[in-house]
Amino acid sequence: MAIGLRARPTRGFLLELKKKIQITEEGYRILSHKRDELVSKLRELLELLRAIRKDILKKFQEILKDFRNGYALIGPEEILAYTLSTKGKLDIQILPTSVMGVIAPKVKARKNVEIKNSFPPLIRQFAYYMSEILQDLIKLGEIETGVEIIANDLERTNRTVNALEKIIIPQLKAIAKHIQDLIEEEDLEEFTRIKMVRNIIVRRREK
Amino acid sequence: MSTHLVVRVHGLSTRLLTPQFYHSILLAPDLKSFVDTLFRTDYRDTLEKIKSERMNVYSSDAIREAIREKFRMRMNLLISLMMEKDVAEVFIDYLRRYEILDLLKVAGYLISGRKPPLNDLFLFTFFDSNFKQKVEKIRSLKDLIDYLLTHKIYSRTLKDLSSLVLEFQNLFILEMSLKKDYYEHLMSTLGAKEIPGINRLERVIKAEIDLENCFITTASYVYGYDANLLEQLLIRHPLKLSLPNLKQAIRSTTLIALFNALYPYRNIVELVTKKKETEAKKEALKILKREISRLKIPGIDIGYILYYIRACEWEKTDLETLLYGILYRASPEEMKAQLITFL
Repeated sequence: MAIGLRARPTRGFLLELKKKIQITEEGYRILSHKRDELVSKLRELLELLRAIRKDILKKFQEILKDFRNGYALIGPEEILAYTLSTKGKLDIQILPTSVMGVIAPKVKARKNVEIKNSFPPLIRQFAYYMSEILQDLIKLGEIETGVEIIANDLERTNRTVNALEKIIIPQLKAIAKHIQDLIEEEDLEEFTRIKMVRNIIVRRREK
Repeated sequence: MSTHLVVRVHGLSTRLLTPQFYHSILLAPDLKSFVDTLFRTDYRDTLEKIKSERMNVYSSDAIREAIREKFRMRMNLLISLMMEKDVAEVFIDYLRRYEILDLLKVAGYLISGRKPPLNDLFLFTFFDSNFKQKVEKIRSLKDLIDYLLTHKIYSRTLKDLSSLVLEFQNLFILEMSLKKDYYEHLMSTLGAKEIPGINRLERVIKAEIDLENCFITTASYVYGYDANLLEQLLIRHPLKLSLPNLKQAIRSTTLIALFNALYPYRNIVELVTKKKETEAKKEALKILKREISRLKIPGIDIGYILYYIRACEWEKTDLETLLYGILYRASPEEMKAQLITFL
């Protein structure tokens, strides 16, 4: 059998098969809903991703331009000293969130870069803008990973839905139909046999 | 007053790069042309070292080191020319701003857990002939703070704030307390000397103090810095801003109150509150340039020495800007807009 079932042309097996078809069709419907939901979620995330990327790029260009100007004004010495001293000031936590049963990461900053009381003039402004953009970058990373995970799951779900729709359900239905035909044939055969036997018995009694 | 010294400095300042030169070096397409153009100037001797070592291949770090080396040589020469003890003391104290930069960089490296590379520091020996050896011995931020707490200039403010610096590994508090002690010590040195023309120097330093205070005070309103901490970091001897006004600015809760307290520098305050500090720094630098250009008088005046020092510093900064601009292929217009010379 194409789908790996050892079909027995019995009523019991047919009943079991019909139940199986019903469950498979139900599963197909649910997976199909999941696929539609994942597609809409993916579309929504992609739009958000595009907007955030564009926004980050624009902000980065502005910050870099400003940083270049500032660097030219105060020179590399002070900036280097502060760059060296700001290690390990960001603490993030990655939490799992479920989107239609798909586990995507959600990044939460537990401790952000502290600007208050930490930086001198000019560098505090760069630190402020960079810490703002860092939040956007974390969001971007979260969305990109989410998109990747959802896209992978969507691909798998789509394959399953297609397999159910195009192969498994039609094959199960074909088997059920085949068994149904066989049973009907057997019933007819049995009916004919009974009729014949009855005729023989009736004829014998008449004699 | 040392007339001979001022005359020599007038002579030295002829070796500074001119705006016309900047226009020509702005067009350098690569580092080789940059070095070749610079080779025709006072930088020949320091560039020669890297030229012979590296043939025609230049690294930006080597060129930057050559520029810094020239600056070091100029300052060492300047101090060596000062025969009069009082004048030498004033300018050595003025140049301590580079000692602060060295100390900051050392602190930055120590906080990051790395050993400070000595070749990246200015290490002027006229402040302390053993400074290099002392820096070599410093292994942690605590060692550095211990060293500063025994320093005759930098211990005054730091002794109250050292625990904060150590606990939070806070470079800002360290820098600001060093700067506060630096300016206050410099002002007391200037006040103690009877050198003709010293009041002109005092005015420039006071203008610098005003600008530093202006940026310190706005930090509370704009970025939420601790008011008590900022009050401790305020530098005395301002020019246009009185200390009560500055304290009022720190405690300001409205923009109008902040503007009123820092009224003479309202354009700078406006830019800082809009978080456009690069523009604000440019404005501050313009004010400072205006003050310093007053010292650039043709006569024999001690103020000219200060003008020369700042001109050397700005030349160094501008050349570093050009160096990295050329390295990262910035356009000449873009680079020109960032040069202090053309502010």
